[in-house]
Amino acid sequence: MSAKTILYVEDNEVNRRLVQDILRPTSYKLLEAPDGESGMAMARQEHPDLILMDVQLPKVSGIEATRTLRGEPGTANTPIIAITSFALAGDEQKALEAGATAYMAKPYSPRDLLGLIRRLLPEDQGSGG
Amino acid sequence: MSPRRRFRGFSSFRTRVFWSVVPIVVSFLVFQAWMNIREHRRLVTEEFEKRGRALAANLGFASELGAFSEDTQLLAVAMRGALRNPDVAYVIVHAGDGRILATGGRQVTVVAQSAGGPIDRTQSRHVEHAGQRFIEFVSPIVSEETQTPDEVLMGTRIRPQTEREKVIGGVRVGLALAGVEEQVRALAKLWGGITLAFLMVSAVVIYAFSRRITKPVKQLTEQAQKIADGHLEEQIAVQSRDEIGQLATAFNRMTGSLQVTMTDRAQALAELQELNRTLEDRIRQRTLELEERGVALERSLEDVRAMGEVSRAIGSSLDLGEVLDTISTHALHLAGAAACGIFELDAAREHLMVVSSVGLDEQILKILEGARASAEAGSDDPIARVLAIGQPVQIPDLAVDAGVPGQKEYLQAGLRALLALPMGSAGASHVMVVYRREPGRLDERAVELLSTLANQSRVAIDNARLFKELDGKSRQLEAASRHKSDFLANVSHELRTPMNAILGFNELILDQAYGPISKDMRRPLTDIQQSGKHLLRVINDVLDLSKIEAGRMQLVLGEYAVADTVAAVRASLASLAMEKGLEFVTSVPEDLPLAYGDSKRIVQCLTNLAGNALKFTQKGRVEIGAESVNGELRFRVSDTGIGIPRERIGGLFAEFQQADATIARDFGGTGLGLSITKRFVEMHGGRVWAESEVGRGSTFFFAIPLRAEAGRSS
Repeated sequence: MSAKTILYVEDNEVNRRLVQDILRPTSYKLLEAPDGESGMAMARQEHPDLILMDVQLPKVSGIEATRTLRGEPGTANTPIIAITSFALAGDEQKALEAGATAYMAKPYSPRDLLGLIRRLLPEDQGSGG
Repeated sequence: MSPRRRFRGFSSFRTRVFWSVVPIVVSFLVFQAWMNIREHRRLVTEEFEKRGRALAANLGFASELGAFSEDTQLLAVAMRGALRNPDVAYVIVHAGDGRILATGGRQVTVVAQSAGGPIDRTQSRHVEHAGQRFIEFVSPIVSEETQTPDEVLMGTRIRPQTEREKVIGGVRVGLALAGVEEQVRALAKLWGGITLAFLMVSAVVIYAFSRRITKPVKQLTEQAQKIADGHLEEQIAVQSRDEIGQLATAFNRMTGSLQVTMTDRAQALAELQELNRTLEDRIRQRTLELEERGVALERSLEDVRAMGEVSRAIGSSLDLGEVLDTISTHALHLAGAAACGIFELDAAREHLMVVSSVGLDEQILKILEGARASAEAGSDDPIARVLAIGQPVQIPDLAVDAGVPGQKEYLQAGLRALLALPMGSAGASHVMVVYRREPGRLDERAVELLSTLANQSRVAIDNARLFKELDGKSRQLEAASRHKSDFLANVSHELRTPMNAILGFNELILDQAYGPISKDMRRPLTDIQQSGKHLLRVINDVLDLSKIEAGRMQLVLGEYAVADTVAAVRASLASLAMEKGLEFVTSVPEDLPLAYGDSKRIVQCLTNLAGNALKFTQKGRVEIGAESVNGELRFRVSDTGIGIPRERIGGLFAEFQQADATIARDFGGTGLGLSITKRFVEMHGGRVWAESEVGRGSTFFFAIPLRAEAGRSS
């Protein structure tokens, strides 16, 4: 059984590296996309087991991408964690309404994010470290 | 009142007198007659009966022997005397056993042969035989026995007298009632005649008497009527010395005094009429004066009204063109002018611009705009003079005054006089000109009024212009405000993205994700973490406040358990309390019902207050409490910290305020926490306050409705 894959859609490279580091000690396999459009393309192509979706993205917003993916059979049931910026009241609601499974506000604690990922997508025991 | 009516009234009086006396007289006479007849009838009847009884008794005696012997001859003799009486209608003699022994009389044939009742005792009775009425008198025929020898001897009466008497028969004597009735009828006739005669005499007497009474009254009435008609000289001829005569005298006296009064009154009336005429004249005069004043008043009222309308127009409209047109129209009315124009000297002060005009044709406007203009006190152009001196200038007759630009055109348009008024003080660039068709100066009042209007209009022009500028600015502001939310979202995102990396990596380092870290490294890395979190709080607070200020903060309402809220606050701050070695407790009653509100914001408020409490307390305890007081949910955060001076408490909730500026530096904090708390509490429809004692500690309270209504920051 291949490792569980997580797709992280985020335009900021440094933040993408942070998640790489967070997931390094785990058995999850990380896929990355820098904007909403390529994020959706990758999700359709790779069928990740979980998607981390930043809300504010170039081209297609995270909210929009989440809504689109929820409407497609391949990703209808994939857990999606929306990463919000706590910008305006209702951001979280918007994300949940669009179909996100959970949300995490920036700046998130690596420990909290990993806890949430593990809750939604239990890590395979024994593989990785 | 018609004479006919008067007469009838009088007549009824006489009739009344007559008819009030007649019934009394009539009833008296009739009663008298009836009484007399009755008495006579009684007497006649009584006499009749007496006679009948006597006849019967006599016959009874006379018939004793005849009856005893039953000798008809004897009885006939005995009856003869009775039958001689003309009233006797029949006589019948009966034997003791009822047999008829003898009969006699004219009418004995009509009487039945029967016994017709007992005959052994004296009596009288009315009987009727063959339609004729009789009174029948009955008398027994008694035979007295002679005394027995014993009786004679003894000299005593052994038997009572009655036993010695024996009824041996009876007589019936019938007297015809016709005779009596005839007598009574004759009597009634007589009395009727007497009564009637009396009645007639009485009527005549009464009539004459009533005439005697009513005649002077009638006279009096007619006289009074004449006086009432105004013939006061009439006197009533006094004839009698009775009450009517006295009344007539009094009447005459009254007429006399009335005559005097009437004369006085006529005089008074004449005087009054004279007075009236004078008064009328005075009233007419006064009315005229008042009318004049009224006209003046109305004119000033009109002026005031016009000014009011102008003010209203100026107040209600900020559209410059509209305001100027209103001003021109009112100036036209106030001056009774034919045309009005408002002109402005351009920025270079070389040309006039027509700002507003009423009743001026294109040609005139073109000439005015085309001509060179300036502000010169000595110019022929009245507009130039006004611009220079800032005082009104009048041209009473355009036909006479040469050198006025557009003179020919004005005259062609029928405009003969003009008044130019400054709008504002000397050096102002606006002039109002009113034109009239009649030559002549406008009076001072009109000039003053128009000056006021012109000056006021200046304010309106400025206002409208200012508004135009402001309107543009506010449109820009609106656009800016529209972008504000996007801006805030962007700023938030832009700040959070690097903060996320900084704090994230730092946490990974501290968690030794990149390998072990030395003890020396841990302290600065922890500081980075703390400072980063602080910076984040500042950012959060600033953004929250911006959102509240922009009215974009909305509460997300829902049900929540107060205990959970307090527990969440305690959990997030427990480590800080532990670090400082402070006792950190919560107190929430178990029976507190579910509350309704934005639990996230309530947590934020409590975190702010409890965070502050922990910050400003070096030793002792911090307590978070919640309770229900009068339907309100009251939160309380108390500490044993440094306390706040009384005079500083009021300002605590203003932005960027901490009791001491140095404190903020010593203890950290954004200074925005309390302000944000206050706003969130108010959005819940609640209030926040604090109690404190320097050196002893502080308690911060906030109370919100147990169930909040949807609130929005304003």
